[in-house]
Amino acid sequence: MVSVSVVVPVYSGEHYLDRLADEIVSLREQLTKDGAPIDIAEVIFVDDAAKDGSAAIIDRLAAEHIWMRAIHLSRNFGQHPATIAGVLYTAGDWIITMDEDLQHPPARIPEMFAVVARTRADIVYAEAEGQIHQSVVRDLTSRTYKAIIEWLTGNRDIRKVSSFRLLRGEIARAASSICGHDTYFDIALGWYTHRIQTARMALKDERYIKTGTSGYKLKSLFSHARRLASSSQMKILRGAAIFGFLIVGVSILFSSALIFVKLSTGSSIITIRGWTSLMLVVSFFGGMLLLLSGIMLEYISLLVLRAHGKPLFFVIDRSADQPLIDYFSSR
Amino acid sequence: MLILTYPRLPNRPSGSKVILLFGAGLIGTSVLGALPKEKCRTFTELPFTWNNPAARSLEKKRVFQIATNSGSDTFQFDVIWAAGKAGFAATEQVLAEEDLAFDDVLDVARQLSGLPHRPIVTFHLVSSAGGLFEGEKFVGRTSHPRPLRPYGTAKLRQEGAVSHLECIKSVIYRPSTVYGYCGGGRAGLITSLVGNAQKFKVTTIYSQPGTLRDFVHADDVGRFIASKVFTRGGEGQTYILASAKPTSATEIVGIVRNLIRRPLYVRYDPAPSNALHNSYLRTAAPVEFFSMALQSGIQRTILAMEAAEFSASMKYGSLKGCYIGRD
Repeated sequence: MVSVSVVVPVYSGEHYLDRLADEIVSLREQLTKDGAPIDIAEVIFVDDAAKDGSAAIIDRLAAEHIWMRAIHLSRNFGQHPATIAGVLYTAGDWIITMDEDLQHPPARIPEMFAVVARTRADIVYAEAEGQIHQSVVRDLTSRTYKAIIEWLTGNRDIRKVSSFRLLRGEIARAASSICGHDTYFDIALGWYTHRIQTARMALKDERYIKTGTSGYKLKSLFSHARRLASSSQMKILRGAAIFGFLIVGVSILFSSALIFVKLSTGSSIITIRGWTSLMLVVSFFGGMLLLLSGIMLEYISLLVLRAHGKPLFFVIDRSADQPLIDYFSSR
Repeated sequence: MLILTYPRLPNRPSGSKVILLFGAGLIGTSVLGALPKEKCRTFTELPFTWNNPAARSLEKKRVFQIATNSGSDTFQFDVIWAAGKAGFAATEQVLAEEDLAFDDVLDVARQLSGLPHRPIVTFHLVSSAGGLFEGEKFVGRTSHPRPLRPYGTAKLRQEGAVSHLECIKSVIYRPSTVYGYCGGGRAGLITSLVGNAQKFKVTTIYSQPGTLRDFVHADDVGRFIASKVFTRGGEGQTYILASAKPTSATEIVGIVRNLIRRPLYVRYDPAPSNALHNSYLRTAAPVEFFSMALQSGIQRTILAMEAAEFSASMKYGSLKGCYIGRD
């Protein structure tokens, strides 16, 4: 039997939390009825200084269910810090993180475990089939944003990232415990494992579809991008250094060719006096500056990653997965 | 062991109160620190040896004599057992010695309850949730102890013995993993990390990086026990004293590293003897039990250890002979 902790950051979910809790209760009962080796042992609601009546609702849910718990953050820290806080209160072998607004149906959690059983993954993200927001512009923006970040950082797993995650408990807690205030949680998770999979499922952002509002404003998207960039080794930095190196190389080759022509034929390819030497000096030193800047930025990014707590190694024990593998292979 | 006597007070007209505290380790020191000092009339420190039953027999008599000095004026005795000869890895043999000493303390309690004026005697036993529920997660108030090693079995035996005392009320405290600093004794994970960091030494951790524990600061435990000693209503109760915040070794190392601002050298034992998880439901602890945030508790521990280190360096350094008091 594996124990599961469910972490739900709460900010404006007063209209959804009761239904969400009911669905988790139903799933818990269903799993027991099915004889699944999955025990939803706790649900942790993290009140991120909710702007509506959510705090009182999660307190009531915690009073009604011994296995539910409400944690209140002192101020609004954001979805990622709230998720991390919740993860640090868990004790489950596996952790589910999900949004408050029923965008992530609890009933789909077994499908994520099936992916673990099939692939021995440490992290499974829910991957939306079709249009999650039922808005071409919104969905295209979301996809484009992820593609840009993937290109900038060279991290192919970024496309998979979603806040509906199934995480191996030890990895999630380890990653959470090293996260600083600017560390991107999913990037930190990627420091501990490359066994990252997705489970395709139909997801709908009901709140956006009904109200046209989303938790992600343009400002928060930029903030996300900034944290993603600062938590990652930026591929673009290395690219700049390589480009600088190439320019230096080209300027050396070109000047060698010009000197060779001048010495062997006594004439110049470029007849304007001083232009050649000026261009060579500019391109050589420009390239050198680019190269050295790239190297310095690489060093700085290493220091930043060290400050973020990127681990040298991490030991993991996956032996407890066997009941899951047996259960899902028999279905 | 320590004997504290509290005089007859206006709100307690029936007589004075005597507290017998066995064990001046981490929890014992914290209990002592939380007991009201300004109201204490006398404070006596007496020896109570582990290894010599014959010597202990004499010490027992002395304890009884001092405790009953107030004669029939004493209406309440509180015996607190916060002692432990050995820790988690103790062998049966070592624990047998502890059991003998524990039985002697039970005898003292029985003698006190048998005094002619029939005072109220309450036995406060500090047990160990970590020992009783080793390897269990989501432990609640109704969970049944299933100790895995002699230490836990011995604690369960002590709990049974206290529960069956006749004419003596009992209160049992089951703290989870207690941390803090009292100037000596066995070092836990946090004090080892801080102490070794101060000496630039490697700390060996006898668990996995992801092993979960529930940490409570000794001062919180001490404050809770002291409050139960001075308020009625807890008799017959068993309290789990847990923070309900599962914490991995990795998280502890991270917090200590951030707070201590010195290099932290860590190695994990390849064959860890203490790698089973232990966690508690939020409802396991009584609502009146306050557990300070881990960061605050660790910071408090670091400050206490740094003060002790500074104090030691002042005593033995250039200002030899200068006494620096420790708070």
